[in-house]
Amino acid sequence: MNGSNQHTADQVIQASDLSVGYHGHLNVLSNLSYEWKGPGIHLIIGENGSGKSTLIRTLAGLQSPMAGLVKWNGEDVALISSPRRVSNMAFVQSIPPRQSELTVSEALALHEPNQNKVDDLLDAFNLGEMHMKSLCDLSDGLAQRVMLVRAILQDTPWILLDEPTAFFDVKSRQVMWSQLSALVAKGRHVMVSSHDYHLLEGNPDLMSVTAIGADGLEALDPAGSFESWNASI
Amino acid sequence: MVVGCQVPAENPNGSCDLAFKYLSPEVAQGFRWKKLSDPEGREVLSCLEVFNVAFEEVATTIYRDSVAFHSDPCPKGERVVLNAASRGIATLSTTHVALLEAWDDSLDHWAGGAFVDYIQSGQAKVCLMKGEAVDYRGTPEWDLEMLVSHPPSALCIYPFGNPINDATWSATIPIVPILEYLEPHPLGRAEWMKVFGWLVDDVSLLQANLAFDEVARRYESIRLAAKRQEPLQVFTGSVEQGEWHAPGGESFIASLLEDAGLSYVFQDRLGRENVRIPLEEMIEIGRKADAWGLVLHHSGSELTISELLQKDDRNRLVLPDSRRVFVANTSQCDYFGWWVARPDVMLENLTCLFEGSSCSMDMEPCFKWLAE
Amino acid sequence: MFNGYGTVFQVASGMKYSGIIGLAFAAILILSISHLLWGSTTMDWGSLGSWFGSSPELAATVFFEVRLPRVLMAIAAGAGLGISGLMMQTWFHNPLAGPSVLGVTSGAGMAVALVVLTGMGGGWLVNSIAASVGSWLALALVWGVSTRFRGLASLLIFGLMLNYVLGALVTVLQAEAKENALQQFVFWGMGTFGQATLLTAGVVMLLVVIAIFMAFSLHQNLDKWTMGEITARSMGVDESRLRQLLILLTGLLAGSITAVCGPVAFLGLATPHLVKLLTPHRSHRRLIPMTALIGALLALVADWGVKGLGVFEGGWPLNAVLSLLGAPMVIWVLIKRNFTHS
Repeated sequence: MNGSNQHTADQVIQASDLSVGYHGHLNVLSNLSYEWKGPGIHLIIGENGSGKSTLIRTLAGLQSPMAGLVKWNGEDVALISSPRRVSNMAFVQSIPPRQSELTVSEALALHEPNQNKVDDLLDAFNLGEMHMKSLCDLSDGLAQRVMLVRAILQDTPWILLDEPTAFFDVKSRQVMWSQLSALVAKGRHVMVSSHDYHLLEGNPDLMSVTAIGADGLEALDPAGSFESWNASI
Repeated sequence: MVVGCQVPAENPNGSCDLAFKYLSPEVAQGFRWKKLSDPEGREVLSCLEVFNVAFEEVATTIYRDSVAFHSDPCPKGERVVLNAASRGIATLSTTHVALLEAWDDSLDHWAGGAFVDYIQSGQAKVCLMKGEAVDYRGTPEWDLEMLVSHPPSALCIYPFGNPINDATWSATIPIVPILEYLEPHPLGRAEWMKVFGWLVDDVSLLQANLAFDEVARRYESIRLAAKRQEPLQVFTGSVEQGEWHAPGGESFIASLLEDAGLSYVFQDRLGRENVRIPLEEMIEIGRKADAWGLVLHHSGSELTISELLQKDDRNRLVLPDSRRVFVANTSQCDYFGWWVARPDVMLENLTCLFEGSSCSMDMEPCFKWLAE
Repeated sequence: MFNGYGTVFQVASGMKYSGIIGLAFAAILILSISHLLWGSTTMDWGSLGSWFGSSPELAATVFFEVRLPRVLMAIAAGAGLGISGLMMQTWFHNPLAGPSVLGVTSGAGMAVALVVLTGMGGGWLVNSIAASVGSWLALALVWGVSTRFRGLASLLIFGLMLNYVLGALVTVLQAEAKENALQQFVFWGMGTFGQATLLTAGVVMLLVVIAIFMAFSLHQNLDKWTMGEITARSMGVDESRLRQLLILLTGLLAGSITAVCGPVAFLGLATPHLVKLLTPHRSHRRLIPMTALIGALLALVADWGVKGLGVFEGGWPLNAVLSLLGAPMVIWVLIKRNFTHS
């Protein structure tokens, strides 16, 4: 876990004739072939119910595909051992951990035993006074911020986030996006599904924008306008 | 449970064709003696067989000592060897204290008991107080330490009441199951006093035999005198969970009532266990009967019929039209203790009840008529 | 979830985690010694050595075969049930879970009821075997269906319903049983540490120690689990393997303890809450050792209640004492939850 050096190489997540969904239900999305590559923010947008969460969880290797493959740097994710997966990808759920009594420092110590490094990062995220508080006692917004810090501490090339700002107020959302941008500057790859895409309009760190539409995935112009993205979903 | 280092040399599994002579008790069905030969060739009563709860086969065989144990080529069931080194018999039940006291007035041979709060015998209480008998507790738990440090020559239990775990020390305590509560006849129940006598030694067995013979003789003479032309109809039991529960036709209470010259209404409903009768049926039976008999525990003032009716609304429905109810109040009479060992006095009590005011007993009766 | 314990005691006494651990150890030692020293027999302490010889003296038998197994069993049961309760509460994200939610206790009860109430009668050995078989069967059933349920709530409700069904069957058996058998079954249901022998206490103690080490090795996984299934999975937690291990551990712990002691109430449910009152730590690396110690401590305290505090003629049955100790604790938890949960 040496920091950002190892993250400078371009990482690739591939969907190969991928269908995603739940057992017993119709596939949410079918026969997708797509590629996300390189450091930066990979934004996934789509209407409610379009399958953003299912897709991103499957790409993260947290849910089995209904058909087809997810590949990380050419390797089938299902065949990658758990420890290697953990060192390759960190995930932030849309729902904060409302049932965990762990304190912030206990939660973060799961990844980083060095308390000082943890404190530095907490300060950077304006969470400095929270380390003795239990996760379940934090407001949703604060808890999600802690979860982001945790994901960062996992020190992986990829961080995938599913609707991370769902519970944030406007100001916190802007803060979150700037923090994600800062990560990208150090070579991390970030994939995020979100409704907040109007805040990302014109963000130089935006590497790709993928829209989930009626016909599957469509690549949009990262430099394009918010209205143009809107029109595609 | 076996005491002693050596197991008898033979005992092929089950193929025992030898015929034995047995000495069976007069009335009781739950036990008998097996006559073995001692080293000198004499027939001795050194082996007691106790049946299983259905009285079908021998479940436990008890030997006086290891000599007897080794001289039995065909042992049956669980084998128990008494502990001659220890003094005294330990009991679980108050009835067993009474069966001891029936021939051992001073309870010399009583090592102590569990659940002593339930024992009503005055002599037992004196022994406990003087420290001659040990309190083995039982509520909430048996005092295992006491069992270890004051080991009895035998621990008499009901088949369900074994407090002993399987520690190594438990092998030194002979467990003797006593099944008097399953005997269908009151004399059969009392006859188990002979078992307690035998557990001590031959002299005690003789005393127990004599005591029982006297009880049986009195019982028989009272029974013969009580015969009637038209017996009165009597029922017992109580209402539980919306049904009437009463002892069946083969229970000892049925025998007792019949021997007292009465007619037990459930005589035809066979079985030693309780019979259950729907309440509706009971209403007719109850009202037409001549008398209702009850065993209950009522402390405080003398129980009256009106109080009985207050205890449960449905008592009103089954109360005989004659309004004659006879009750054994266990808070005032040692129904489960002394009276078990003296069925003759019990029979006398019952016959006296129906004799009218001309009858009186030497001692305070257990069953009495309820006043209004 | 909530964390409204207010760390009352810890703040008041200003003690660190290691201080509480040390105090708990000391208390266990003192209580154990008190149990070993006091009893209904006057002891000739000099003769204790005879136990290692060929014919032990009375005092030696009392000490090594009556008092010592009981103390060992209390410690093992308290530690084992406490850990089992902690794991169930963490797994189900539910502060009211205990080892019995998976049907272990009612499975054991059902088996013992069958044996005792239908007249197959038996001493403690038969009951113990029956209880073991019953609890493992119940667990096997839960194991089998656990893969088919989506969501923890379903599994929890299944366990509850299983408890109801088995309890109902026991009630039917009780209604049909003879009085003597009924009484024996009721006694079994009261729970006791007093039926342990050196062998059974030793075996259970060994199982408990093994289980505690296994539980401790899972401490990170348990911590990760609290943050939600998806997050835990992303951190490397294998949900089905963790579930199977927890079911196995519960079986080992609650099953073996119930087999020897009968169904012991509350230790599983209340001990984790008491621990959380004593310390602000919530990582399982800290909670597991303290839960084991506090559970053992509670069991030893309760056993004095059973013995009538050495003063009264008779104490109360174990489960009564434990419930009187444990219920106020659960009430406290509920009150705190209602007032502090936002």
